[in-house]
Amino acid sequence: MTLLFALACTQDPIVVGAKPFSEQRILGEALRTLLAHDGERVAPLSVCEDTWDCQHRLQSGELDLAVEYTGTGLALLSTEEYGTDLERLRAAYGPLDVVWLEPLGFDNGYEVLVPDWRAVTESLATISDLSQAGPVRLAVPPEFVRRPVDGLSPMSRRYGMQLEEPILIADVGERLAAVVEGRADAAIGYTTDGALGATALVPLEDDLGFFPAYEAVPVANADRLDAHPSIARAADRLAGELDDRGMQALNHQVDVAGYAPNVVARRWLREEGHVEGPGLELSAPAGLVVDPTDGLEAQVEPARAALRDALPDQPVRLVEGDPVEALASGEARVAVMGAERFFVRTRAGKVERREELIAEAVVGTRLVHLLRPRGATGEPATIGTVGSESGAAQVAALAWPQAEVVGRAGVEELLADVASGDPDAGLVLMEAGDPRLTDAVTAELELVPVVAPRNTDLAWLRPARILAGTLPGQTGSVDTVSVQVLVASASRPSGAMLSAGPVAALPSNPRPLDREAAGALVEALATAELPDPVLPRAAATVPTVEEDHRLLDTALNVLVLAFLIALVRLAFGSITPVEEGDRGAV
Amino acid sequence: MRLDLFRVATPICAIVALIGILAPDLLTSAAQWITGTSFRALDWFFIASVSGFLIFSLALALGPWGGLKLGKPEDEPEFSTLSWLSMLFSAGMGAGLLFWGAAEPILHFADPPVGPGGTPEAARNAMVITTFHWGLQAWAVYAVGALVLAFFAFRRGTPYLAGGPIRAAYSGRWVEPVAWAADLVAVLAVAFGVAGSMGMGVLQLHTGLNVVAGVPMDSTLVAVAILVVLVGAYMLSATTSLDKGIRILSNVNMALAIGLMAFLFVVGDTSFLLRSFVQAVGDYLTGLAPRSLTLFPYSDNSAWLEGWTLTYFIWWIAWAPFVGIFIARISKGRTIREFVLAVLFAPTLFSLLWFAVFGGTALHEELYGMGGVADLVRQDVTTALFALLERVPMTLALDVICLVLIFIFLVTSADSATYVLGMLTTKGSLDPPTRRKVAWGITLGAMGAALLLSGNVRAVQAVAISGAIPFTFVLLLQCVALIRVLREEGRS
Repeated sequence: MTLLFALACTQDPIVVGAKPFSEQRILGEALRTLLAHDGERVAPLSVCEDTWDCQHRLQSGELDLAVEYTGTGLALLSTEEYGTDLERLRAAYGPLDVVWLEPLGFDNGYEVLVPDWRAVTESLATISDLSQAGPVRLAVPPEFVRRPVDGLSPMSRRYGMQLEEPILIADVGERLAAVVEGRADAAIGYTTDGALGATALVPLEDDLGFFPAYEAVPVANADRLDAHPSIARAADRLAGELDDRGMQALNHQVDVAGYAPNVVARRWLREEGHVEGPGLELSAPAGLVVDPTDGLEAQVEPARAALRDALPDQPVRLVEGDPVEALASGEARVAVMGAERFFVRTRAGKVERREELIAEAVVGTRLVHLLRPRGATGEPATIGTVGSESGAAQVAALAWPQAEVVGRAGVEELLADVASGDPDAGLVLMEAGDPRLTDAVTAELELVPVVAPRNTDLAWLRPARILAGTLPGQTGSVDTVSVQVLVASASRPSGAMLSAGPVAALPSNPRPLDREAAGALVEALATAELPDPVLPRAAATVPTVEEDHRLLDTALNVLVLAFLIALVRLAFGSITPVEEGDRGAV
Repeated sequence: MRLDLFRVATPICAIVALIGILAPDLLTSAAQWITGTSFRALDWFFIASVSGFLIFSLALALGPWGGLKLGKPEDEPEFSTLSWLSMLFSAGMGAGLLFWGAAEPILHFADPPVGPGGTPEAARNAMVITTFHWGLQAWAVYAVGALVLAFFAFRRGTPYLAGGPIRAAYSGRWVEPVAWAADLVAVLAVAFGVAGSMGMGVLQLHTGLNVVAGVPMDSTLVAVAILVVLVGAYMLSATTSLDKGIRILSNVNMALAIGLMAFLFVVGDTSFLLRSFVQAVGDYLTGLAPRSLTLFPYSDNSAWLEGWTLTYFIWWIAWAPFVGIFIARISKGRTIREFVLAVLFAPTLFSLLWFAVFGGTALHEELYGMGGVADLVRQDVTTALFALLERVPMTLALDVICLVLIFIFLVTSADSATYVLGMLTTKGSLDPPTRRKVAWGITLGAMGAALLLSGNVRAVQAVAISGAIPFTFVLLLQCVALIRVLREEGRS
């Protein structure tokens, strides 16, 4: 009895494996959760390099359980024929000590994806259509090139597709992005891909029926399956529980919303009643704040993607509002905003820099377009901007302190009002040639030059030029100033006590990014331009002169040593008799 | 003529709380400058002092003075040994162990000082590091602080003021100003320490209520409402003669905490927990000497050491005036040997067991279970306890029990804080006027509200820790005071 008990305790934990993509991780975590719920000890999810690695480790007993796809399973076995016959799979894998259990219910096959505009303009509907459209630049997962039966070369042979050098990208999201950005003509995707709904890509029909079905099936090591009946129980509970759309929705929660696979898996199991108990969710998604009147929509998506890289497994939520306030309250971890928001005009009229924010990276540059009715002279007394709290309004307030700043709802309304003389001038903060401005500007208005201020407080307004012809009817180039668009976050506290340890672990507002996350954010944004040196930047990115503490430190050390020497003298020196009255009762 | 401590201490508390609301950054950066400078220049001094307290207390216990009684020769202990030990635990553990019990091992597991996180090796080290922070060193600080006060109070009739032993043992013109400064530092350390732990406790209660009842997480109103109930509860007991009730409540709470630990121990992987306990004891004992004096002078790990180890050590020093008075008061009639050995080893062993169960359960969940606790803790440390309880049966009942536990711990510790602060600011009167206790109760409540409204518990903890740095010197002076009277007694 005691021996049995000891044996049960020292048994190895069950190892669940997954290939390196979200769907596999979610399913692996779901299986682990069910096993743990059944009282088994389970090891952390073991992520394989690829299909071969997974199969090899399953056969060797290094992995106990994984999820494999029928089409893949057959493709691995033979180089001539494939199909989806589960019985044939079971027979073929029996000698390898791998058992195929019951299918989960969905089919995650390969598909060829093209941009929706190409599908429409070139009427591409099938893979055959694409093959006839000329040589194809195909973005593929590295594994697809190696697959002998259902991979790249058999597919191109079957369809007679002419291929350029394939672009190997392991990450699904990046692969799809390559097509959206035009670096590839088409990409190999998966039918249950969670990111698919969010991109402008459409799948092409496999009109020659090249791809087999890829039904997801839990596969287990035969010996361990016999030793642990809970493995079969866990797998059976998921049999038939997920259809294509269900799986796609779960993938979407990881790939797009940004939740960790284990969170998604556990939430799904709880909702479906497979495990009970209240679910403790991740406290709050990390906020990304942008002021909707700033017109920075184009910069938000890259920033969101970068923030997701910086805070893996944490969902990201878009917050609309004042970036400075949202960062200060901790509602947002990161903001997309112009350099102007780093500055504030004090009551005394001085321009001061906010120190509670830091500029992490530059994501764009916008130009000040100051528009007035043709022939208007003198300093403008009123300047109109889109929104009264927008970045443009702040630029106007900081750079034209004597003018009154008035807000308007949109560019067109603003320009119409400027044309009719109220306000005197309109300030539009946009990239050169932004269609939102070029389409709205009318012949009654002209760009007026803006002189870069000499004032060092306003050095972040950098000299720039709007070239001739940028706006309709603009004959010469016009000097103006430019303002950087930045990804900003709350400034990080310096010093040891606040960067590690029990005090640093306590919740606080604002919630700065830690050094590691900020590094990942900047790397993910991969911008060449650096934030203007007048902007507050993270200590790590600024070459600082190491402060010389030696004098202070030496003085403190000498004082403490003197104190210690005095202590020793007090302890072992002669004891002066204390007066009887002070002594109290002995 | 000495300045009335109360008239100096309360305005300081009020001003610091006000700065905490209006300019929390200023407060944290000032506190950071003080700790940063002292840690950078004097880390060796703090580490050596805390280890020195351990050696000093052991030397007293095992040396020739070990047989001396804390009291007159005929004094007998007031409490039975068992109830004395249990009071020791509850003085030292409080809400802190519930807050950090699962959180700290998990944080070290996820981000270890050396090597990669999330590995079995990191788990083993996490347990050692945590027990090192909560082990003998912490209790050596308390033991020294309490022993000096008890010895002077029971043998010399000195009041329980931090400056008391200094006044009694030294002579010279420097004594009175230094003693007065020591009194003030002690008052501020107690006030800020308790306010900070109230803030932490309220945040944890808030998270717990969110888990149990779904109250909104981002509402300051809820946090303030919790604080108001808390202040109401301890004010009630401070102003009425509910003292006895509070004492019973405190014992019940202790039993509940032990029951909770026992439950986790039984429903969890018991043999794993026992193994991790034995392993932690072994690693702790073998690593104690080298770890006690590790300063990383030749590598770049000083930020970790300052952030964790030094901060914890100073934290214990900040609590020494408070816990010291409590322990001193219940220890009349014990010999020095008995006192030191009990105060050092019993709570340390209990802490080891506590962290082995709470931390061990959390680590087991990470290594062999569903995982995901570390992610939660890294995002919000207040979720640690509830994330852990979610993984064991009867979650809801346990959550509620924990909420009750935390609440009562906070009430009892704030109740004693108003008493201790009242005492410290009335020249050590053992029966401070209710008016003064109320005044301190309100001050503590206002400080708690300030730091909740500003969302900056961190700022007050930083202030509490930086304010305790001078108390290290006070403790050292007290030790020497004790040596002097012991020598004197040995002569007579």
